[in-house]
Amino acid sequence: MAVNKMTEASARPSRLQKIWQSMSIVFESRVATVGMIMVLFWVILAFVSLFWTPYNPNATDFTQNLGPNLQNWLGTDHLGRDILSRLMQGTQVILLKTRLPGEAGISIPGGVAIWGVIGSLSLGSVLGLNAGYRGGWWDQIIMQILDALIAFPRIVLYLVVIAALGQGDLVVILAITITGAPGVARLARSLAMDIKTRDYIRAAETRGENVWFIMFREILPNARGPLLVDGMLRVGYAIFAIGTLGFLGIGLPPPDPDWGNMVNEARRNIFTNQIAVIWPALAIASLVIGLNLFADGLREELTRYQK
Amino acid sequence: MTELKKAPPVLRLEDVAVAYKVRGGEIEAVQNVSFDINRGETHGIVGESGCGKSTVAWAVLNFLGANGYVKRGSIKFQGQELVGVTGEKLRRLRGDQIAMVYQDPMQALNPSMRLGDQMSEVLTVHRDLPQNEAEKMCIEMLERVYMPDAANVMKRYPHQISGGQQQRVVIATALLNNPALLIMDEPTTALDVTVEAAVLDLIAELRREFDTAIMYITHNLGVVARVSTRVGVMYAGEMVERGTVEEIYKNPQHPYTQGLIRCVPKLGADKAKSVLYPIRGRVPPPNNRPTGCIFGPRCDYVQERCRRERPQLREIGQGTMVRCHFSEEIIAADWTPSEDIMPPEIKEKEVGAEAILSVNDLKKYYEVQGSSLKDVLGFGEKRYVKAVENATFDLHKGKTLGVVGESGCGKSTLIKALIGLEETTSGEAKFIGFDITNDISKREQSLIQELQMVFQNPDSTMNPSYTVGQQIGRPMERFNTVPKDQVRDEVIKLLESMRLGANYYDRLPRQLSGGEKQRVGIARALASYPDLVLCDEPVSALDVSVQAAILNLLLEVQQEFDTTLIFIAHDLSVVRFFSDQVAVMYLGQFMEIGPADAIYTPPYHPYSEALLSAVPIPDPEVTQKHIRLKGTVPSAIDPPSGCRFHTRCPRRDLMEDPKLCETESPPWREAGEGHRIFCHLPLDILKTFEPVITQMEGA
Repeated sequence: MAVNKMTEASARPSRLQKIWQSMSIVFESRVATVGMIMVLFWVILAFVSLFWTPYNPNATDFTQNLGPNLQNWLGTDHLGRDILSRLMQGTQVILLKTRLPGEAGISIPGGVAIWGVIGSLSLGSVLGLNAGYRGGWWDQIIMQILDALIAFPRIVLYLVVIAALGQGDLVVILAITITGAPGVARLARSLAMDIKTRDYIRAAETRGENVWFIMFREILPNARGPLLVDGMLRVGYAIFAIGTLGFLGIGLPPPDPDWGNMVNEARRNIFTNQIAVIWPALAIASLVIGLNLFADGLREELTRYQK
Repeated sequence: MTELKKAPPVLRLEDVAVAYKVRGGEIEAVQNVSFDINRGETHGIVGESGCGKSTVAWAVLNFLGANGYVKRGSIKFQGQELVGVTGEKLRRLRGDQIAMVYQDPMQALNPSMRLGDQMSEVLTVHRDLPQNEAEKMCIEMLERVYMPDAANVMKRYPHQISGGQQQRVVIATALLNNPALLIMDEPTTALDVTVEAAVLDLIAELRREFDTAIMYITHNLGVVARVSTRVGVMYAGEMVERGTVEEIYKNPQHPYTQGLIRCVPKLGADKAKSVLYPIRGRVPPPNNRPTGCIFGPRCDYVQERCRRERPQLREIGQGTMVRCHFSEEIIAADWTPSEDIMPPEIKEKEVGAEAILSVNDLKKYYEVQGSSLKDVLGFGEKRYVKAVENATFDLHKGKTLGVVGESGCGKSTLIKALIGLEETTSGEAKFIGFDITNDISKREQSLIQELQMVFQNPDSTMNPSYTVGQQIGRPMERFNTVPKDQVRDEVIKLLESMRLGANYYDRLPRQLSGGEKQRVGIARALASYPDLVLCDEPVSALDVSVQAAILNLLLEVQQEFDTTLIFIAHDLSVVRFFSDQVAVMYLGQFMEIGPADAIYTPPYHPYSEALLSAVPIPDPEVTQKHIRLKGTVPSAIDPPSGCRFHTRCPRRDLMEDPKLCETESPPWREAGEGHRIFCHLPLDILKTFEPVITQMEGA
């Protein structure tokens, strides 16, 4: 048995090595590295804000509409709250926590954008794999419905979902899931249609495997790469969507600051304090661009000719 | 000969090395390649996949892609240096003085342009000919490559002509400007044997007629023997031997060449009387080549000097060059196989009276949707592709049935129907007493477990996401043949009988070579200990040296587990070697079935006869009858009435009443010992056919 273990260890690199190997792919691409640094910046800021912000983000302690100064680095908003603290706190709902409804104020880990994308990835994969692998009527019906969904303007879909279910973190997650699923489904479908022609799928069929086994155990693991890269891009879109909803005033509910809502409020006071509108807009843009660069670089590196 | 030597060679490569830049460095795909090609000469380049044959061709045309470049050496074309030539000068050379013919004609031709426009472009661009003159020349050229109805072909699109005709168009296009050098990169690999034979005839004739230098790249030893005058053998990016065709085949000097020739089954050889000897080990990847002799680790004669010092290509008389330190001391005839590649012993076994699989008049039709309005609405007459028409055979336990035929003849459909991926249309099929005409979802698990399959493509036979052990273990878990806690041991046992060690258990498919993947594919099929294994071209995607090893392995497995096999292949020598019984299919119909040796000797079915005479044989001293089929394989939607082969049958003039072939389905002629021929010609006439292959005197 000891011999067995030895060979296992030498054949299989340790988990840490594996992680480092898959990480090193990122550094091959300059684009991906830049993207990752931008994303990491915000992730670290979000973690820091869990324990420390310069001031209480919701306290109206300062003079209203201040420009950047030594005390408030990014200035204050129309209620005299510190913008830097609010920006930092605002990353939490996007990336780190989702507040469950109810008085208790319980949060689960994973931000609204993250859960929204996980939702659309799961829903989209299930639909896309069924359409792609089974084909025929399954394909027709699933794809017709999803195409109809795509034909709706996104904003209208958001409005419908939120008008029907009311405001809340979970509702925003649901809205992102529903609007994102058709795109994921199309990707998953095309991947499934490609992969199902491979001989190992024939081998599974000649073993008499169940369709769900073939879809989720044989096809899905091989579609994982492109789906994950797409998911990473989608986190960017989701953040953008949250910003849009916040701007319209139907996004994430208070008390936590919301970047979109910050843009909206600062816009109202744009003639008294021009700078305030820049910061949340910059935050959204840099995080989205960072994610985009990261995903693009990663995709390029993954599909490149390998030694 | 002396006169030729005075003129400078058309192409001379000296010590060429080609490197590709990849992530984290660069790899030298080709090293130290030197050779020259004279006017009117066909220089063959053979080697297994990944040995750098195509890279050499692309280097000549400076077509190495963004990450490839010629690192060292010089390539001289008619005395002019080609390395570093770019831009307009290069464009002038390509397609004008140096032309290329590619492997897949369907991809070489632009599907959205008429053939005439594509062809004449070569002339209008390079020679500024007016369109009408260019077209006239194209038609002439098409006629020279024996294209029927040439003027009409000019107006068609690539998909409207057959594969063999497409390749003729590509060859004609390449010849339009009368190039000094023609590079052919596996021009017949994508074609069927009978079509390949006709294209090879054409190439041999063109060389005589045009006085062009041809660089002919292929992996097929038989093809090289048929077309070339001199041959270079490549191995792992180096040229290891060079000489005339006769010398290379009769008297190979390099151990690698000797090994290659030993691992190809001769047409007519069978497993009881002859054996295949694979070359051990595998081709080293370009970034991990051994120091010293590159073939050293796989060589039977390796010595200390080989490990230390890389041999140079040196002349050893009769124009033969060899890259080996000890080639004079190596005598191929004295070679004995070493322990690890010893092929299995074949024991004759008792044949049970009861057939394990008995198929009677099995039919498989596919419905096709027409495009007229009537069809779309569902009122049109239903049309069918008749993929399998009259499959009838019995197969006994422990025996092998080989099925041969050209692409589209229905061999794959037949095994898909047997295994249950497709439901059969009509007919009977009984496997160990159970009916197997239905779909796999309706079969009992115990039946599914007894019927497994080995696939063609080693790259897609394994799921890239799971380890070898997981994939072989899965059928055991699914069919509960092994208790859960013993699966691992059982898988390792199976791996060992595939001659893969226990250390393969945790490997992922991408860490395996093609041959190793195929072994795992076989292990997976055997994991449930099935009674019948269907092999769909299990060796056709593999290199010859690996192919021999896999064939030996299958033989061994069959001996050990007493498995019955159905073996599909398009290579007639492999089928002959491997099978006890052979069935020949054409357009969905069984044309001939019987014991393997009976198929390859008279009486022949006229189609089998034509197939056999088309097979390229890796031996320049064997003469074959010259039979070429006319026309193309008809569509399976509207197959010819009567005998499906009657439209192309070269023996139809022997019929007293040739009309009979068109109107009536032929009878089965019994030639004894289960040998049956599906032909109107009476046996007495079929028996008068001469053997296709004869060994020349003195060989």
